[in-house]
Amino acid sequence: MVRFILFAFLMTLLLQSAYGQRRENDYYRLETIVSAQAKTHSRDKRWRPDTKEVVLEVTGMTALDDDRLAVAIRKGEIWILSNLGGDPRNIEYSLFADALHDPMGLIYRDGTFYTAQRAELTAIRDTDGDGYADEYSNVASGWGVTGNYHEYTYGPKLDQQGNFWVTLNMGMGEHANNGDDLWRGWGIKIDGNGNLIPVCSGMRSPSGFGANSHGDMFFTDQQGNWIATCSLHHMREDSFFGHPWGLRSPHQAKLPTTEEVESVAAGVPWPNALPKITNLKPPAVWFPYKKVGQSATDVVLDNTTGKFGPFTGQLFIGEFRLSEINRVFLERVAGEYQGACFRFRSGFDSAVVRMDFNKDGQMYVGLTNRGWSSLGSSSYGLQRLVWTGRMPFEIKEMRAKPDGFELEFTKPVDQDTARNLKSYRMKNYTYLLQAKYGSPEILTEKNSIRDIRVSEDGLTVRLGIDGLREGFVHELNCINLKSNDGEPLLHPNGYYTLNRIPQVD
Amino acid sequence: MDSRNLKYKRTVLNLLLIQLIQFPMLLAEEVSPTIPGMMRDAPGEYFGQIGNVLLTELSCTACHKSGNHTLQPKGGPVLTGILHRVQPEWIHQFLKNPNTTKPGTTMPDVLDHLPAVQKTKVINELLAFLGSSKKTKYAPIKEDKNGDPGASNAERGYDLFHSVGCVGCHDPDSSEKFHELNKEDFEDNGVVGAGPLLSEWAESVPLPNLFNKYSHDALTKFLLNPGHVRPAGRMPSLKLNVVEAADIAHYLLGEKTVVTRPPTDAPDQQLVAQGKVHFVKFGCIECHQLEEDFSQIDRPVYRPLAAEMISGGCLEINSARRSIKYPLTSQQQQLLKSAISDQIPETTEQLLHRKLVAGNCYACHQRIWKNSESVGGVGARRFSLFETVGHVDFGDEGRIPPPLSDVGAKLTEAALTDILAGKRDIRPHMQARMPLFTEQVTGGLPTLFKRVDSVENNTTDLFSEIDKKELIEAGRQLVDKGCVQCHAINGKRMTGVVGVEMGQPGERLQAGWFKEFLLDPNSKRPRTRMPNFFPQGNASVPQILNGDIQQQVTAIWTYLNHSKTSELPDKLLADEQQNFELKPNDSPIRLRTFMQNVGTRAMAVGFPQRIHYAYDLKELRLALAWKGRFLDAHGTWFDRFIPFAAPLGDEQITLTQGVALARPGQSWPTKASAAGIRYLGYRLAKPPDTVPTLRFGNDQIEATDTLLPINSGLKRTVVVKGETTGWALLLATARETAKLVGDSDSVVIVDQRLTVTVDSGHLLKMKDGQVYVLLRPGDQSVEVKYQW
Repeated sequence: MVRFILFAFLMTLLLQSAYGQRRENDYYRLETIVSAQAKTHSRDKRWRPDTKEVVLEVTGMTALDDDRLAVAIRKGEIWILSNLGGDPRNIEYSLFADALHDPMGLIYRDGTFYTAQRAELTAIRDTDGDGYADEYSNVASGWGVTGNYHEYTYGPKLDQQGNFWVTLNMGMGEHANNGDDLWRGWGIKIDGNGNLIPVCSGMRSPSGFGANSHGDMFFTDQQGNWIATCSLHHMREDSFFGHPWGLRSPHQAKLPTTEEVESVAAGVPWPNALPKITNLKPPAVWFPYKKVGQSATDVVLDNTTGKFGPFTGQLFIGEFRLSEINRVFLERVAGEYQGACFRFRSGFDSAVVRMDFNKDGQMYVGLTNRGWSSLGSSSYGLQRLVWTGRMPFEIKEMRAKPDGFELEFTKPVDQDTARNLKSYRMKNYTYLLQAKYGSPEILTEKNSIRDIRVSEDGLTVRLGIDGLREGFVHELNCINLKSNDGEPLLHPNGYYTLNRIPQVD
Repeated sequence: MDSRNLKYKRTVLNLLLIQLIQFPMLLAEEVSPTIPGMMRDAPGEYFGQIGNVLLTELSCTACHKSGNHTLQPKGGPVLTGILHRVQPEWIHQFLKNPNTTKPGTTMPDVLDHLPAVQKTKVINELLAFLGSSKKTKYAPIKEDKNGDPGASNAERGYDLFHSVGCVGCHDPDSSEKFHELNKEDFEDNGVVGAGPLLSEWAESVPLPNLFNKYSHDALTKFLLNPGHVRPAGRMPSLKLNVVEAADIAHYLLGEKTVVTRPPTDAPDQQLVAQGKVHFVKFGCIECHQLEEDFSQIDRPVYRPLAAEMISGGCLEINSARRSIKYPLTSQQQQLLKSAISDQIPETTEQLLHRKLVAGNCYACHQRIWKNSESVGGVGARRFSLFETVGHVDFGDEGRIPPPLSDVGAKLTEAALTDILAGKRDIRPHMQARMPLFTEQVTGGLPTLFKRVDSVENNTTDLFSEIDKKELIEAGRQLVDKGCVQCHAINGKRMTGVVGVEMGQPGERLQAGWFKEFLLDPNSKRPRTRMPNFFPQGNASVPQILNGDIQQQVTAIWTYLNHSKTSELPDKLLADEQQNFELKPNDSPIRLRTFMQNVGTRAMAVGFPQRIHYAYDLKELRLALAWKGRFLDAHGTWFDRFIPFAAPLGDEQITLTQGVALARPGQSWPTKASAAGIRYLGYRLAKPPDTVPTLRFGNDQIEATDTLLPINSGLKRTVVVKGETTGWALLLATARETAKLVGDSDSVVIVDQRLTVTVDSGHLLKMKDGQVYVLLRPGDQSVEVKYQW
């Protein structure tokens, strides 16, 4: 009997979690265009119209206006895919460019593709119109490349003024790094003349970045030495993000000295480290390890004006190992960005490395996990995420207030559960700035919910909360909250990086 | 390299300074006996009477016998042949002032009560006696397959000392990072001892002045097998080979010293006889092995260990009854007193903890105990010195020795026994080595771990109703989906993968632990890099075994345990069959890559005519040409760690060492920036030719450079436009000779191998091995043939 109850309990658990996955798909449908293990791979000759094999390990991707999609792959090629709308077997592949050295991004502007190779930002054009690039121009170069595999160069992306940006990965292993590592660990702006303008430092592995709706640039870093957990930072001048190796470069910025940073190498809680280290800037958002990804990648703005659902203006963040996409809400408090992250969509076939929206507001998701590993059944591929038009019940925004947080939902809440103190739980913690790999959550404290105000339309809930702490991640769990049509939250947790408590409402 | 060299020199200087200051004046202060593991102690009743560690580590029970068989005294080194190993002057100093000569030593000053003159006399007699014992012949270390220890290298020794694990216990060089920080610095920053996942402070085991103690040969011999002369084995073997041991010895000594032989003239038999008596009377015999017959000498009788001993005797620094001197700290005295006065039987946990403290296993390993208390782990200052081989990113678990939490539930007893016997190294990616301790340290540990950590229902195997063949195939597919991305199976691994070996896990792991770990890696190893392949209890591959996670784990376990006789996972099979050789069959192939002798911004171009070249686009140098097979792109396209590419073919030739376009001055520039030009890009001829034409220049001058295969070589066409006056084009660089052919100014033979022919409109110039042409004013084209 006990066995049976246990079995029934396990089955219920299983069903519930299976139900959880299906629910994401109800709102955001995942379509496979190319998957390394898809049946079409071996059985359908149309999968590869060329005799050459296209291993679609996506490292750069840009949707073109005419419904085509350009994809940069790890082999160093750019392919243009057309006929993407219908049956994946009808996709046509055309090789556009080749012999690129680890291209790690792709954009298209005024008839020209731009990609960052290891040692240069390259403009690629097809001047004779035969569909195959014949001109490769060096737009900018000059950063260090020692030959260490981990020295990737990511980008480019464009800011509001039309400048290109690249981010430069740190080499792996300190002693391996004693060569030509100029500007490694920096975010670099490139002006119209190809001049490098090193803007900010302290990066470890900035594998994804992009502009928000104001054209401000944000990058993700990945947990590792000096980086407590994955994070999203605002790239701006005189900013240092925590990883000291980049400080060796001969910069003019107001940044700490290497010694200043290494004095805390054994570990200091981030809030205590901030006043100790010149221009150390906390991330706008921490992504708590494994709660919201464990290896953040691309940053893509939802500029679909609602075609992709209710999150226009927010950022989507790719996730490598867990093959997911997470979501970020940002606001400015005391002049600086901070905000919250939420889980968004799991279940991709492989590591999510690049994302881009097409003009219909569908998100292309480029995948590759070779060399590392990820969840999902494939080692690479291309998938598409489409909003089904059904409104998910989600915490759309989580805004800091002087006395707590204001939550805005995608649809009205059920007034009874929303007014119940037991519907919410909150705790807060921070991380160590330390030379070690990552950091545990430290100095954790519980917050108590003091009062609740629900707006008449049921779309916002204002929580009065005791024990807010600046510099701490505030983890909210609304597990018991229901929408007024009886649905639980699709993702009940929000993680707000409360660098500053706003002084005014 | 330079900075390391500097560090090394500094070390040598420090050592010399120390010698100048310390010897023979011996002004150093006394350091209490150092038992490094005790500094990692966790307080609380759970861990029991930690003073017991002192009873064994200070060898109290060597004289004061205890009925408790777990209180075996540590004892001292074997003294047979000691004068062949250790310089007699050092022993003299050591016996005179043990604690200042070897700071932190656990040997007491047994001659402390003697007046100075008599003390010297006794020491001389003891030395004469020790010198007379010549039972072992001293054989110097010999060259073997690993190399010649005589050709040791202190820089390599420095690197080894700071990587293989020595710094787990000993101080790193003072120039190493964080080393100058002290405990207070760390505490100021609020981290030390702040919880199970934070850095702990860890004291070092002090090194004595080795230069005065050992010859290079003797220290090498000691490092190779410390347990041979120190059966207590607190200093383990780090599995060094002869050359490694010689290198470390060279680094530690600063310079290689010669072997000092004990005096060969017949010893004064009277002194020897006196020394032998001292050896027994002063208690040396209680701790040290020495192959002699002592039956004729009466041994003193010591009181057995008993509560009443806590006052007076060795424990009282100022007691008149004291015959020997231990400079114990007051805390050590306190701990000893309570250990002696309340002989409470220890729990299994306490006994295990005490053994880990005594062996200083905690120097490298952290263990979270069942009461959630964390003990040990690599100390804060040393953390950065633990690295992966090749600096591969594995997170901390790739470079820091594994935690011992639950190890008795994780590993089989047989595997634990093997590991402690120096076998089963499954972490080749880790620079630190699991040392080899003596039986005195490791004896009983596997059983203790098992008894303390054992959990209920921990099975030795996982079973399923499903047909075994089906199960194995399902497991093979599951392993293919995830595991092979990071792990090897029976030594087979995907390119670039360096993770822990997974083959035959049943020989190493307990099945129950394996299952729990797979289902939730974080539960066993917080913050592990290993992803959860069963997120929220779901199968990430639901189509296999109906997504039943229990069956899936069983399948993985079963497949891995049969992996030697089963087919490899598909990805590994495919990886074995991958062929990345680039063959330019119809049209030229370009490859941008890291390339040996070309650089990190190389472009290699291969032609169907089987003649190829590589250009350094960073410094704009026509670098290499070769014939035959072109390149293997495996490193560039597939290997995560991208080894530099190298030409596959033969007849390789270095064309130039310098920037293609420059103003010749004192010497030819080797940096594009020094020449004042930059790489602009390249254009490609229409398919199928796709021959690249490189472009470089500056605001005033621009050049294009195109190479095409010709009979037995390459034809190069450089078109230059703009302000060409004063500029020159580098055609070849001679390593040895460059000789003009006949009277011509247009043909030169370089290094007796390469014929360079320039068109008739330009004259060859030569300076310091650089073969070049000066450009005429105005736009022009230069044609060059390379034949070899």
